[in-house]
Amino acid sequence: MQIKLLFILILLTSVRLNGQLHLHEILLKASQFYHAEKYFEAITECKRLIYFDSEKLHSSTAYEIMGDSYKEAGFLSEAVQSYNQAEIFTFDKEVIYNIKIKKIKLNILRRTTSNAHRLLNELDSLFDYTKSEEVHYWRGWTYIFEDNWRFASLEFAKINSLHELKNFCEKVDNEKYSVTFAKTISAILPGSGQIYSGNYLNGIISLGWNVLWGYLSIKAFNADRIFDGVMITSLLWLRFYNGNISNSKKSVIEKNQEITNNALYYLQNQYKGKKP
Amino acid sequence: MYRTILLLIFVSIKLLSQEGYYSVSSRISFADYLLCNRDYEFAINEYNQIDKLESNDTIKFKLAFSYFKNGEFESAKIHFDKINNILSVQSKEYSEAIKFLINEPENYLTPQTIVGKKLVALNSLYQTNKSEDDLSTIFTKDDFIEIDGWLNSHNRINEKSILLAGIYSSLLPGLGKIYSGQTGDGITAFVVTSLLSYLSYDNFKNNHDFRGYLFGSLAGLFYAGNIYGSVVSAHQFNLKVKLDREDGFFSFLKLKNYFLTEPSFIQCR
Repeated sequence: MQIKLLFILILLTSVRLNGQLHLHEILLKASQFYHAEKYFEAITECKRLIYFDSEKLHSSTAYEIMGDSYKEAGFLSEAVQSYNQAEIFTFDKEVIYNIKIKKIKLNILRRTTSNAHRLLNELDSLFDYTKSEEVHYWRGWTYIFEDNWRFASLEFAKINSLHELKNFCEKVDNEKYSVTFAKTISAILPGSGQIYSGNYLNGIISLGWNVLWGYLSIKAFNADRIFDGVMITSLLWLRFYNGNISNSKKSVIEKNQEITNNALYYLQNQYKGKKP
Repeated sequence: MYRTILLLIFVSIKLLSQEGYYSVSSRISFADYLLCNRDYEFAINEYNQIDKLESNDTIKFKLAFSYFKNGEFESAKIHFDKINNILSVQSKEYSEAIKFLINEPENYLTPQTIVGKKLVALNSLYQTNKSEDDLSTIFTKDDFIEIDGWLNSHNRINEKSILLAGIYSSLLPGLGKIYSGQTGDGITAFVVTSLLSYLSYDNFKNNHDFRGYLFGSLAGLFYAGNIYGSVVSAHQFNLKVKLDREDGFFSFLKLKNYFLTEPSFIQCR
């Protein structure tokens, strides 16, 4: 009787172990496909594993690999959903932390920076100070993608006052032009806002038009041609004057965009540290 | 004794290995799960693998069905046309629905299935408001009521006459625009044209000929532009009505799943 019971026990154990072994094989396969950059196949294997893993022992890992594969394939929303699922199926604090970091990186890339900030705040409250450096680092990157280089620089400074990215962000912030300043000087002297942002020709042309229509308006009023004066002032001079102010804003925004793009290009191609 | 136990364990493991998660039955179960989860792209991949290992009409149908649901109508049709067995009637129905979807409905060939007949009858009803066939024999009573309701709601909006819009605007600036549904634009056109005409009249009256001509020509420009704008508005209105009807027609068909029924082996729990 005892031998029979032992036999059944061994058989059941072997069947269970065999099942687990096969599930592990699927996980290995998914991982291999992912590393071979065969993302469709990797996702298929993860889905297979999730379907057959009735005890949900490998679900978190499978969802995580699925999220990584979706991210690499450019399906960022699907990647976030997979990471969300990966988080549900684990109790391991370290795994949860890593998944949250992956989600933050995805949100930075998707420019859904408010989500990234929310997740960073969660990390701040859930994990101790040992992780704070990484939290500051990704918060800095979040600010970069919000085009807020000054705040980004302040975040990197919290890690190290000589941090490479702190200096870089500071430099970018200093290079950028002020929209308010450009608009103000353009209101005082038409064309000066464009000149300030480096659009010399545009600035000179703008100044020329304003001088011409201003001169004709004043001349008309001086000669008591009130109707002509009102018409030239309202339809021509004011139009060019307002156009000059909005043009100076546009010019600064374009210039700032160029600076941001160059900075992001540098970060993408030449910066050696961790990137989203 | 122990040798027997070890042998039994070995045999059971060996048997289970062969029947693992990549066996045909497991693959089918996994592919069905993907299909039910609307993961059509992955289901297509899995059914294709199964089709290579063990082909039958059910697998072919499921593969074609996944292509159909994924919007890959050409591939779906190729696979539906391959089925020649007990499922051939349903496959033909899907095939005719695809033919209806990928061809211009006007060029649709004579239908052989009830689904095809329904689609052709409905298309003729949509295009001409009348059908050559007796609809009550083709559609069920519930379908008929639904179609009637849909047609009535979509036929309520009449198209605008381009000629009338032009004439209205030439008689009273802005009226053509109001007729075409652009009330705000119509009122603006009326106010601007009237104001410019008045300024022109007033200047001529006070012997300011230059200003009179200036405002007069501006008023003329606005008047002509308003007539042209009314004609364009009426045209745009008609285009929108046409697009809305077309959109509504195909949405209705999609909602009714093109009158196609899903076989019992596909219906998910």
